[in-house]
Amino acid sequence: MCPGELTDGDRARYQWQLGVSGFGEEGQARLKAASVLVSRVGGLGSPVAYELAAAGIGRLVLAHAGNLRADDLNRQLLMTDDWIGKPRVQCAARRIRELNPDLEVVAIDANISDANAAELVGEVDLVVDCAPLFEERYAMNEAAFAKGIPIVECAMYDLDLTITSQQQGRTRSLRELVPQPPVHWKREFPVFGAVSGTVGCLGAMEAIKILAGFGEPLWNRMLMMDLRTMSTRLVTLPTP
Amino acid sequence: MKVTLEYFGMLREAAGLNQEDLELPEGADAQSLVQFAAERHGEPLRSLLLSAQEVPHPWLLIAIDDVVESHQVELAQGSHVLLSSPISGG
Repeated sequence: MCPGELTDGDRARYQWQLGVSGFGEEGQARLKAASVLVSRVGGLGSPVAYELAAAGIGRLVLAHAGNLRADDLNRQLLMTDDWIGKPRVQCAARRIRELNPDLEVVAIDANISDANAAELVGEVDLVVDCAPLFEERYAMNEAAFAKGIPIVECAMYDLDLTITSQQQGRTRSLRELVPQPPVHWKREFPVFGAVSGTVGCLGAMEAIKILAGFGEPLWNRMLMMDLRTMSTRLVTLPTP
Repeated sequence: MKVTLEYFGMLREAAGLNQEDLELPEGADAQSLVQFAAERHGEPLRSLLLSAQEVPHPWLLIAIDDVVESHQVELAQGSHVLLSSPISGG
């Protein structure tokens, strides 16, 4: 059987999405053959990874350092209360395997840095950037651009969220849009799990569209949502 | 000329409002609008908008009528200007 070739079990499992216009069995086969890096798997990365697993991405690489804390649980939906004090990424991998045992899940107990970005990005077809620190995001984005693979950039603050998709030759990079880390950005910021969950689901949908080759990804556009007023803007970004 | 200035993310929080209509001299550019808003609201918005050199931070995103432009682009009567400072994941 070729990589990505669908089995009868796949057709049964994914039948609700196989009917999506422009997707079909060819799109599903592309997802099955695909490998995606999600970093991190906290408030934002949890729903990204869970939705990608539900959709049938063949291989998920999850990267997130550190042990679960009680204050993670308002938003990190792949975590469970009984896991406090143990590695977050192992809990995320466990939950994903429970949802979809057909997938290959690789759990990396580390955050992305200049030291590991090229290696981790090098083994996937797409990256979803869910990291809180701009240093991590630059490392991931630059590695994705060096390899020429797409990266979905997700972000949130309070009840606001932004999302855009980038790729070498098609869009500007993160550093071209944000030339240096904003000095006032803090590691801890106010957010509801419903906000990180919203942008996480949007990020997963972007990844699915790009990998399966349908719809209109957010190349050179940024979706900006204010969930406090439920207002949305779709802004056009400068092209390369 | 009258322009509408909308704040996003941390800028909205610092300004204490979603948007406002402002009266600017003809020919004003985006940078002068940011400086005007910083002067009008003071801290903490001022530090989020301007560097020590009193110019907009290089990471400040300025979208005019939903198109991200350089800080030097000239505004027009009725322009809608969205200001955002980059946010991140987590």
